[in-house]
Amino acid sequence: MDNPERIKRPQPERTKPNRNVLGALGQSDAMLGSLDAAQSPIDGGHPLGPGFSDPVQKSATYGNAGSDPFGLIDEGVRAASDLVDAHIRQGEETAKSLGKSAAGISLAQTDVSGLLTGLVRAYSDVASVWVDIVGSLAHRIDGTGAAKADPTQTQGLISTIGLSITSAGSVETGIEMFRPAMDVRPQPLVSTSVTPPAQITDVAFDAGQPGTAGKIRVTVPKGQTPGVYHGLLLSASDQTPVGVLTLRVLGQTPQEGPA
Amino acid sequence: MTYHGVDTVSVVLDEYGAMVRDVMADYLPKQEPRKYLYDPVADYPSRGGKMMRPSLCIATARAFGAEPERAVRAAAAIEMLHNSLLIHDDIEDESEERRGKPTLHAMHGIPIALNAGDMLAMLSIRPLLENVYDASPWLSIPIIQDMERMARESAEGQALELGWRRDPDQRPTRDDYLIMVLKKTCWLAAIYPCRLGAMLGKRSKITNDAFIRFGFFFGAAFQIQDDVLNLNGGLTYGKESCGDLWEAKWTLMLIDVAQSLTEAERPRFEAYLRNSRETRTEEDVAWVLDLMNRIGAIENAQMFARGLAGAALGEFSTLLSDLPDSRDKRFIRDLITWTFRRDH
Repeated sequence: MDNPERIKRPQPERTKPNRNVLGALGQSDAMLGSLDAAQSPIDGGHPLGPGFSDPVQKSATYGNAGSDPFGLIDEGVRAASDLVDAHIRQGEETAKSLGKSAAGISLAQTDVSGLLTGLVRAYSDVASVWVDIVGSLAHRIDGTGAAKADPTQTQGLISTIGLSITSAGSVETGIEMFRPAMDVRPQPLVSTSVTPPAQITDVAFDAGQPGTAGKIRVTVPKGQTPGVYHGLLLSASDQTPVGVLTLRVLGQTPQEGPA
Repeated sequence: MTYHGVDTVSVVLDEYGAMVRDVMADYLPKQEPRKYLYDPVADYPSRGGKMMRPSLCIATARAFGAEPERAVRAAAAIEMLHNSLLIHDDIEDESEERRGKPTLHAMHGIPIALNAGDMLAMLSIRPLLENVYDASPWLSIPIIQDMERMARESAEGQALELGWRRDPDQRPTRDDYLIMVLKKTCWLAAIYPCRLGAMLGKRSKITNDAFIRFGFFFGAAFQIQDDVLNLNGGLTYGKESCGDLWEAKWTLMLIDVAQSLTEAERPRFEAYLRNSRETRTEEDVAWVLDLMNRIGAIENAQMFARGLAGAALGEFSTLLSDLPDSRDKRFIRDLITWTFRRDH
């Protein structure tokens, strides 16, 4: 090969994280102006972006935002955010009022859930078999699924999972299963509500003996930052979500720890 | 600069749109009376459209792990209901064109169009019912509850807008406009498709407020951009160009104009609002458009829409951060910015 052209490293188009509203929408950096200090949620900024980090810091209204067009965006979106929150609260109240039956029996959504829970408990055997059948049929219908359910293993679907926690401090936990699965692969638990974002990586699934419920084992390291941690439970066969594990690490008091 | 999101969104919209059209065809009767019912019923669904609502439902459902067949049936229900509301909206708005063709009532008259719209709304329940039969008993009621909520919010939003037109003395504010959009547009365009998709994927009910913030920020950004395109779109836009101005429809831009009028301009603006569509002149429409340009109302609306889209991206990262990366998840994210790159 004669005189091969030397491969050059391409020059990066930008040199700082593109984490603000306009950057995400392909706007020029020159337009960013006062938004340079914007932080992404993962850096501790408000998820709605710049202008939301300190509600007291800015008190501009639509009227005085005229000289600062970006102020108009921030304040307008903040107002829109308040508006949708009010709508959510109003929806909750409407749902409750619509749930009153003529006989005065409350059928609000939480009560409906209670009724359904009772119904499901009463027919739990029938329901569990039915869910198993639907689950296995669904896997067969889904042509894009990576793995087909083995008809001989439909009784081995995991619908409930035990938890084993090792922690120096106090924790609260919960598992929400979206649907039964043949096998479960828990993901590391992540919290973006703490700064800097923290993880709990010692998470494993123990299938246990045939016929017994599997168990997820979590070890919370000593000194783990208090906060709420979430970890997705994936189906090991097709990597789709089947549930979520939530773990709240409570603040440790000085008295806690080995005696 | 290339925008990979454009290609991803277009590809998914085409793919999911085709799937939904196939399923919708199964639910549209091919029987008598054809001429005055089932042919008009099948008209709008056969005209195409962006298929954004059903695609959002399918993508959300699949991102949460639903089987494609159930997701597509739910999406077909949403698209059929959307088309039925379009028939009614076109009558109420006195619109002349829809997706580049005459509106249904312009072709067949209001009585036949109204009846076809009613039938299409009823037919939209069927695919949803079949999903409910397949769903677990603890999922059926939340699905029906959500449909009732969406229909109620949409009707209330439409009533707000119709009321503003009926009473020209009303002066809606920016917040009034956003509430109207939240109810009329966002519930059917984004909140309900996402909530339904998530319920089907998770096979469980979801919290009452899930996806409302995301759907509002995204849906409002989409609607405001739609309002802007109505002014700028020309022949590439399916509805009449500047049709909103001919109808004196309240948008963020018109609200800004109303709030910045001089005393000399006010009487002409009042007259513009009071006139009917037929009696508004081209000079009046051009004058209001000129006012919008003069005070920068169109640019302000676009900037505000981008701010809302940023908020939608923030909500997206919160809602779907736990889900593994997938084409469907990327589609939902890219759909937010695609709003500003489309020309119709």
